[in-house]
Amino acid sequence: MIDIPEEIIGHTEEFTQERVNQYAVASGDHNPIHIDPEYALTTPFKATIVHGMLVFGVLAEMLVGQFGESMMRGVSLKVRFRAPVYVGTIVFPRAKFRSDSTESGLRIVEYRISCADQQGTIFVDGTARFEWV
Amino acid sequence: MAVDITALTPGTQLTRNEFSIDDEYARRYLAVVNPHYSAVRDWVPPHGIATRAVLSLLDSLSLPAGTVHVSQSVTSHAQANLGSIFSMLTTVTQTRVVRGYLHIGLSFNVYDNKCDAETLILQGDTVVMVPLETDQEL
Repeated sequence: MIDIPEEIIGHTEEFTQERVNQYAVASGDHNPIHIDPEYALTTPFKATIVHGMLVFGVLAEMLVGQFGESMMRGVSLKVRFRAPVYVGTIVFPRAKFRSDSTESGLRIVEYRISCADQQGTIFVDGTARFEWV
Repeated sequence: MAVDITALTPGTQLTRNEFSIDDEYARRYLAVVNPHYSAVRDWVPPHGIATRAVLSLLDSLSLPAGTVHVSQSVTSHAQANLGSIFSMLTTVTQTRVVRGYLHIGLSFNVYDNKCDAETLILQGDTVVMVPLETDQEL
């Protein structure tokens, strides 16, 4: 039986420029808005921002930490990037239980997921939906 | 051939593109996304596949520097095999201009071609906003 906690608390994550640069190499996404402070100055953001998919990955990994390999199939993650995460930001990934039901023989579990800073600014939020046999 | 992104309209299907995921990609991706996790995994999580898929998609559109991600959804349907060649079918779902940015919505399916038959691995929806006045390409 899979444990369904009321809240899942991820690791506190700091997005340093070094980590963002490493992500650019790992993912192949070398958009200068993420890795080139001089270029970023010419944009409306005025500073480098973290790849959205890196923040997405951090949220998803929080769920992997809780649910393990059951994340491989039957999971749906939907997020909106509400505000740019500037390089240097420290965020707190969280998931809050929303519902647990049964549909067509499947167990459907939903969480609200988010990444916010210490001041409560929400950078990314959305839902995680699991369908388990 | 370069895609004229200003000419994209909802319903347009993009040319099928392919990408692969190997051990090296998986190792590097997981090391930076989750440095707290030290155990070795022999599987790639759906967000790792989605990351590779989205990059392949954005590369195929030759989007300019300064393009920013607005939203993302990913639904995983089956386990992906490391070393597989994945193919993607993508459809434009929305285009609109907001404050100097072109917002492009893209819906994609990712298939694993390792077996004889294609297996649907993952579905995703991506919205990006693209600066309309730039001369620098990614």
